[in-house]
Amino acid sequence: MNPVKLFVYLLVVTLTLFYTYPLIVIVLEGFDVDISPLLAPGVRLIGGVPYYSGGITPSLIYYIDMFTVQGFQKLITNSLSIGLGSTLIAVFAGVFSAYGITFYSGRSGRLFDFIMLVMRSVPPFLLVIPLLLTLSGLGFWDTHAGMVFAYLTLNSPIAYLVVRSLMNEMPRDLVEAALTMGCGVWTAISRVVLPVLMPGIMVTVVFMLVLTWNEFLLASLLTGPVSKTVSVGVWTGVGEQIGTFRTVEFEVQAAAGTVALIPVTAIILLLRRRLVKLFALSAA
Amino acid sequence: MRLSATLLLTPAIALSFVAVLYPLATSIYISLHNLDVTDSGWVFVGPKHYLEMLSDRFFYQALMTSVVYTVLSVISSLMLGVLAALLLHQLARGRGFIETLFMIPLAVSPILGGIVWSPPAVWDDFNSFLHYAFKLPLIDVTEPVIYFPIMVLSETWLWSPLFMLATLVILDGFPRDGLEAAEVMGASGRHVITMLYLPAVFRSRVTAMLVALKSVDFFRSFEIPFAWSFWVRESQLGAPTDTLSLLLFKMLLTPATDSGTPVPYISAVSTGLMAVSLVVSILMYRQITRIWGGGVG
Repeated sequence: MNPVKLFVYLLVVTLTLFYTYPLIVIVLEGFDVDISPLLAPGVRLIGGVPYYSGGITPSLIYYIDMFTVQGFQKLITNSLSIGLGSTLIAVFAGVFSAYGITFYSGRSGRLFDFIMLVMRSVPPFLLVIPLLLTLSGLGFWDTHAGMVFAYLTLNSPIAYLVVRSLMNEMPRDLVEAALTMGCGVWTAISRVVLPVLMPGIMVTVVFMLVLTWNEFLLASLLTGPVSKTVSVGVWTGVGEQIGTFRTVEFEVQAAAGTVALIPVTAIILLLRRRLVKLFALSAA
Repeated sequence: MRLSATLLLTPAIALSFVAVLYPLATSIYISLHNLDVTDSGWVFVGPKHYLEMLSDRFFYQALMTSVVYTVLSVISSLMLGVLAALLLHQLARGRGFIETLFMIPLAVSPILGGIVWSPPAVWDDFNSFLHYAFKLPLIDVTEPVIYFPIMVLSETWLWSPLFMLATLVILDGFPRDGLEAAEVMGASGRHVITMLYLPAVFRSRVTAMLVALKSVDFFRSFEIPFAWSFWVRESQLGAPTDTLSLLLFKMLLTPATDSGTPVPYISAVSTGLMAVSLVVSILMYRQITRIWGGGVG
């Protein structure tokens, strides 16, 4: 084997370790298995000092505790209902806005795109403070409806941008032909635009679900015991502690992190090549 | 026709009300007032909080931290992403599988990204590996010189796969004629990479767009610095972990004093940042719409 090839393979192995090792550690920690290279099995390091922990004894204790005692499934239903609610509204609004902008605005459409592109990257606290005051003022702090609204303000520019880029790629003649043939606007959208764009729109919906599932900052400040989401639960545990600077045992975080990771990994691997555009337009 | 055109633009207008006007107007309003908890509420104080910001030591410190953090994260994500893509592109077999492995960090939520490289997860293992394999002294992770690079590394771990995917798209779409011409002219593999692939990657609009957008995101980055401020016990204001977002978060958690809550000040800082980013975006309007139209449309 020539040395260049060997070097390439070595680099590939190193990078594979770099990208996968942290996740292997997290998954194993969730099962209470601590692996350390070069240490005898069952030896753990606490602050650099090795001590014998009684061997490797994988256990489901953190998972059992999470689902039977703590009720982690409630966080999952919270995340799903909040995510679905805000995503469906955002994509719905995005489709209609993009349709109006694409077919009924001249050059001002580019300006609107520009504004949305700027709003995609606002400083997070520009949203957090108004939302915090509005929601708590109206009694919507820590409610599902409040969170749906919060994610709507955060994600609707992203939904718009993604749908708009889909619509730009779509052949305009198709819609124009339909309109010339005398079909109404609603028919044009439901019979022409939507069927053509449906695969892209489904991808957008799934991806927006991933974004809300993974979002942490808004959720940590706007939810409490009632509507806490998965990503907050990964950090603070399911319990009712509010102080965000305290946290739970590391194994609990690892187990919750593993549970949160599985569905998203499946989705991300399915989306593959579309990810560049989606992640570029979103502000994860 | 005129009426229906107006009607069709209403969703877009409603969208801009919810996503643009509401947060902007509320933030500007709050930033110009003082909230007195004991008293009847909002008192107009003018640009007081903006002036406060300009003389705030913590603000400048966090701004500096954010800038350094952004520059380091963007450069390392781009470099590692391009390297990974070039390697994958060379592979004859097993590329799909390894590409899948490299992509998985994209599924990881940023807060979990702040957990995976933490002392209880990878860092202690790595530290002990260095200690027992190379007889190095145990490295103290609570030093900023140590944990700041690890924060950047976490960010790189999370986002370099995105740059890798973009680069792979460019490399796979590279015209065959160019490669064949290079081969006929006797170019070596190294020449193909440095004189054909790398210029193609760094000049592409997709790369430009990704770098621009991810720079903004790294600048706003919150979760990883937040998690690390916990791991290394830096919960005070003005700690070396504090990016702008984290500084504002910590301020929000500090209790109200006699002079009111920190909420208006936080709004003032956010509005100020927004104004700056708006001015920069408007100055770069042409480039932005060009990249947007070419890279995405």
